[in-house]
Amino acid sequence: MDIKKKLKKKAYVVKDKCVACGTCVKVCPRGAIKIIEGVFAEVDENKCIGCTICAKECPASIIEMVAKKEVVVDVK
Amino acid sequence: MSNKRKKKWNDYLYFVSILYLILGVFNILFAWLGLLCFSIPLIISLSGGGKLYCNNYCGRGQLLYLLGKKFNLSRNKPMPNFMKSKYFRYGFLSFFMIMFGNMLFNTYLVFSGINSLNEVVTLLWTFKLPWGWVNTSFVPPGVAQFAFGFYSVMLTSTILGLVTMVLYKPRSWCIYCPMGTMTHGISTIKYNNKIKNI
Ligand code: SF4
Ligand code: SF4
Ligand code: SF4
Repeated sequence: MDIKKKLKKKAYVVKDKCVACGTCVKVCPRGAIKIIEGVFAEVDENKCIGCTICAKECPASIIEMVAKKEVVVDVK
Repeated sequence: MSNKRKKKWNDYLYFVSILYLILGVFNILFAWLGLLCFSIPLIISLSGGGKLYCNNYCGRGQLLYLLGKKFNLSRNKPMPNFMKSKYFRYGFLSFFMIMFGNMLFNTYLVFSGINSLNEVVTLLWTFKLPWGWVNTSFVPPGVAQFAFGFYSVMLTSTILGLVTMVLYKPRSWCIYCPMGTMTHGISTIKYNNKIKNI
């Protein structure tokens, strides 16, 4: 069995540019985003599946997809 | 996607936004109701609720999203950087508040009898639409004048919201919406004080 390590992308909010409008929270299919005290949005990396929907919908375009977690993939 | 969120009552508040604009056509005095969507967000954020209004209860934001996304009216392009900057957002808020103060002053002039009632709705602070088909004589002229002024503010901001919805992303208005900027400002001050005190 050949084991490969792959970087999985996760959404990341550039906090100081976020206006906490909540668009990303509404569109995330996994409920992975929370607004913290009306100041900025925060992504729960454990819930995020890297679908990029939030990044496309954020009106400020400040959600970046960042390679975060290493996932081990089996390659037969 | 299969795990779509179930719709709740507050997912239909865009209806309220549409109704508000329609009611104002039938009778301008309904414009007074708009004070609710000025005061509620401020009360919420002042009492520590952050941007709960924007996040859950604003019909305007929902309406823009619906039109841009579901009706495909938006180009879905990123906004220009300057429009997202603090200078623009707070600059627009200041301009908005100055024009709001101006509107209140006009209301005062009519209230105190210095000016007579002017039955127009002013779009984008410039274009005057005659709006004199409603009988408002059963209320003092000042009360009616405020309604005309307030409806102008609401209609103008709706139009700006629609234009940026089409040009950029559906909810672009939410980046420079004066209510959003104010509630975000209040929440940020509260948040910064909180972390300072820890
Ligand atoms: S959509 Fe963008 S601006 Fe709005 S809360 Fe999410 S990250 Fe912030
Ligand atoms: S990338 Fe997808 S799953 Fe991750 S936070 Fe954004 S919308 Fe949610
Ligand atoms: S920013 Fe303005 S339009 Fe957007 S959700 Fe908040 S109050 Fe509504």
